[in-house]
Amino acid sequence: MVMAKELPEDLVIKILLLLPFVSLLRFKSVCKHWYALITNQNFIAKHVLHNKNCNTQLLLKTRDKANHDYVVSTISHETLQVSLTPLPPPYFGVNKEFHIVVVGSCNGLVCLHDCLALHDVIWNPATKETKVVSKSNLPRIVPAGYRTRIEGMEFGFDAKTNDYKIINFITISDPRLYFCSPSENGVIFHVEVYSLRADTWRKVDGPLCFLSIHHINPGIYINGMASWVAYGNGWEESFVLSFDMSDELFLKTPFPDTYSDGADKIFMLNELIAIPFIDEQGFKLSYDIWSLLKVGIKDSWTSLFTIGPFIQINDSLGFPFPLGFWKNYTIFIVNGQLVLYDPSTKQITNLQIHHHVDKEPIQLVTYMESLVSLEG
Amino acid sequence: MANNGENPSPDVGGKTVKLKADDGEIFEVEEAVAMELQTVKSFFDDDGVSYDTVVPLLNVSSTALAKVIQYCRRAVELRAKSGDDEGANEKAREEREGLEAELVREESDEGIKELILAANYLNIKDMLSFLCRAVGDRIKNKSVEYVRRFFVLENDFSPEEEERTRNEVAWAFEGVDAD
Repeated sequence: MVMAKELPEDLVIKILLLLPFVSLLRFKSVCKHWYALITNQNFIAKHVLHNKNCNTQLLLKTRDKANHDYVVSTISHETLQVSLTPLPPPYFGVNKEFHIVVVGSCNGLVCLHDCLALHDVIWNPATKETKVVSKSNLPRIVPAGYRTRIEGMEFGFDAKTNDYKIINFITISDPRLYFCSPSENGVIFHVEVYSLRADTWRKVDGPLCFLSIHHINPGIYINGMASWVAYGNGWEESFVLSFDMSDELFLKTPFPDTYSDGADKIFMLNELIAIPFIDEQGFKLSYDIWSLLKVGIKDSWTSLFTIGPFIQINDSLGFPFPLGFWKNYTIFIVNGQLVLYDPSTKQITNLQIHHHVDKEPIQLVTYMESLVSLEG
Repeated sequence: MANNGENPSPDVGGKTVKLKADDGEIFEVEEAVAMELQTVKSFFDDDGVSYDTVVPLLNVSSTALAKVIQYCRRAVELRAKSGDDEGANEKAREEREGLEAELVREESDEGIKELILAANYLNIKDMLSFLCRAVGDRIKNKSVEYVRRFFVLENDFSPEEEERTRNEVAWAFEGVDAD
């Protein structure tokens, strides 16, 4: 009788690395050895790397027009098919007192922030694991009447220590000052970093500057670096502020000379920072897309293309604005609803996503499914 | 042993190499094709080994070796076709993918495992790569029982342990192919 053939372990692992994560989750039940193999963090890290490109999706956070519930959807990067994902346990129920912001996503983990309860939740939508991150209890000096605000947040991965981190950019300011420069006495700056491994918050030295006001566009995380649009003494002094997740050091990249202001959003395009600079001409608005080839090097800004011109949708909705890139330079735009715009063909595709536009802006982040665990 | 009818006669020109399968059957193969098998290449890279030496491939059956040779022969031809021309490259790539699909399409689970083991032993990188992908595609929607049979694995979970493990990700068991 011919014995059924067995494959050696290295071939088994080669095959497992090619499987979609949902198959891997199921095959944990094959036997104890496979359970150990599949849940091994080294294997999971390799699987993430292997599948980075084909697994990319988009995570979309919207608020339903009808019942005001938060809706999180994943959009397939290939087909644009939308699938609903239930929010993680801390946000179950119809409590409309949440104000949820997506801080960021990397390696399959998503970080959510509740602006009311002020805590964060790190969540793996694929394995449904969640962890509530305790509020920072780092000492902060808050003069009487001053207001504490988290200006910017990001979530990312420190490859050197295999750690996931949240960074909060906090200002404590005198609300009576309508506008002040960062060097004035009316503002105190704090940068705090949370480490998942240590499960603690830590203070980090940061630059004295403001981040772009839109707290719903926390920033962008690309390959170990978080970035935001920032400004110093007024909008004239705008730049890209980047934070290296491993070194925990900040880097500034001034805007290109043609534009000293006029941008408040930052996206990723082909693994690089891309910024839509606003070009206002009377009643019309265009966005000039520039890409930063090397963080920190002002000369490496490259002009790509322009989208628009657009006219105002109406007084309350304002102008259409970009939300992020999809493949082949097509771009998601919110013009009262979420659409996909192809600059080369000028074609517009409505994504049919119902949204309560007035209440809260849509958020879109790049996401990929993974088995990364929140435990050590 | 008899020369496999599919092999060209040595008069075609260019050197040939003799490969012996585990049952003693000898395959005479063009040098370029034989060198696709890194194991064979290393065999001759050793000092002083003459090309007339028959290469013993003790771990490969003649059925598997015949298929490997057929694949490598076509792969070498296709590679010769592609060059700077994008159109030609694209066509060659499509043809290679068709070749790969054809190789695995009719293959039983045992057959495909035999091919993977042969490609692994003979160290044929591209072939091993696509065979792993083919196996992955074959099993990804299958049940846990199917996978146990395929990889010859014992279920060493207790009934309680297995139930617990399954319930951890109950939703991952929906939509699985029937065995």
